[in-house]
Amino acid sequence: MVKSSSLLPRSSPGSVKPVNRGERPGICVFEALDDLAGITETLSKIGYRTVACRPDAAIRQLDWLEGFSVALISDSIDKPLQRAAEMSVLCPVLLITSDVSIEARLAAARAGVDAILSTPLDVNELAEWLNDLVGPHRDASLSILIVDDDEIVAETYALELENAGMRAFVKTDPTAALDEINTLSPDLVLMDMQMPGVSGIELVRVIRQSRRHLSLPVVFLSAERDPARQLEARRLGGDDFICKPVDPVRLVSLVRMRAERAVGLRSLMDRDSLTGLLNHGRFVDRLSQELERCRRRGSEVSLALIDLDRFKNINDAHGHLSGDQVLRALAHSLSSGLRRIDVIGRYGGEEFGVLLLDTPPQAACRVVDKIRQRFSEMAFDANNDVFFATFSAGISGSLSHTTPEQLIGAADEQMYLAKAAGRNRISQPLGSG
Amino acid sequence: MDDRLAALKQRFRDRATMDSEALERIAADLELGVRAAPLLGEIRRISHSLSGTAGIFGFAEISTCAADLEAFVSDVPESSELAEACRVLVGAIGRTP
Repeated sequence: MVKSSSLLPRSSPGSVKPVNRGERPGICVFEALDDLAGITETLSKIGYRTVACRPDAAIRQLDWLEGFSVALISDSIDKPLQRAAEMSVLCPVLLITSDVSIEARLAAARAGVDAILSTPLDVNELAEWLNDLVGPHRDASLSILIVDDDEIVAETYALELENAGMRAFVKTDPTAALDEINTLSPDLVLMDMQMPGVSGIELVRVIRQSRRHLSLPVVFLSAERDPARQLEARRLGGDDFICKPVDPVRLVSLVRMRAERAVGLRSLMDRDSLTGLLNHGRFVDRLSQELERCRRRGSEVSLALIDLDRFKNINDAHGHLSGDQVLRALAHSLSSGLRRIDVIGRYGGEEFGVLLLDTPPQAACRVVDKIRQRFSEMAFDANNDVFFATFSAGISGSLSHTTPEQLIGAADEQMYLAKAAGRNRISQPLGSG
Repeated sequence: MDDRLAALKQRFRDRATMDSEALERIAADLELGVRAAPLLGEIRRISHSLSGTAGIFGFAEISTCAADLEAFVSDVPESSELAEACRVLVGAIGRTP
């Protein structure tokens, strides 16, 4: 298997065990002297299950650790890099070290370390890495659109990519490719350079005219061996070349590497760094897309706007770190209580948005209320001071509210009704749906 | 082997056989003194597609011969030479299991 850019999240099948929904991702921790003081409690609070491992435990003895997803290794143990090399075969590895020189980083990268965290440990940074590596959005496989007028060729590429665990889609009509990109939002486009009617270069220029697709990687398949023309194609927006005849191994590794880099970078741009959820802008984009889809298909979505109750008081009483813990815990409650297809975003400071697809408001209300119930029972611990947090939510449905503004406005109105009625409750329009 | 891959490979073989027959006809026409110019587009299309497809199924000989033919066409060759180049590719397809 190709070990791609070691400092970005990867999703190669086999390297990251899929995490069952509902089950909290497991982290195995290797530390010598409890030098990561209290790491277990911290991780547990933000929704991870930890297993402390004896620093000298043989990998064979770790077999019983079924389902652990990340190894956290402190450089206080004996031969940390050797341990990293052993563990990197099984799962992503984070190394906590005081030596962050380039030499140390290189050695760590060679040992298969995915990310380095310097001491003293910044818990926020750790949480971000864990989110990248095993967060709610990590279980989706890469989606690749293949544009080639030759159906046999396109299907063969698709087969190679699918066998490597990716999802591949084929378009043999280049003029229909742009529509397909808009509806599919693929992670990468693999495109034949010479096609009848339109050249690959022309098509990429059209794709790049849309701001949404500026960062979409496009890899050309081409018989073009002239470096000057290859350079020209790159200048016009192509990212890489695969020369024909295509070697399947090279095809798979290059596509995976490019697509993973793009996904990693996009997630930095699209996601809120504290919770790993979609940021405000991307959430509203998705909301518009889903409403559009509803209009075409005649289906219904519900929007829930969720706002933590008296969040300022939590920050004031227990400090901002505790406030961040609550935000993360709510993010985890939402992603584990909802289906994979539902869209979750951090809408504002202490406000979250949830889009429940193919769900009428009454059903959405029941789902969100169950999450509310469980969340309100979760105990938070700030310096041995136990406290609880609650949220209020307002719900609206796309049958009665067809534009993004209307849908958001209606959910917002309901949320304020829930607050006014005493908080820690859900409100939906009377007789909705 | 993967069923889907086997099916795709069979489709490639069927198409290569048709391409081979088309090239054979073109070569015969060229040898009878038919003007080469109107046939160039068809030769280019067949050779271009074959060089790409044969490569991914591992038929290196077809791929190379087709690429050579494609390059040869752009040099605007004599009819007799062109007929010969077409037959080289026909031969390569015929030798493929």
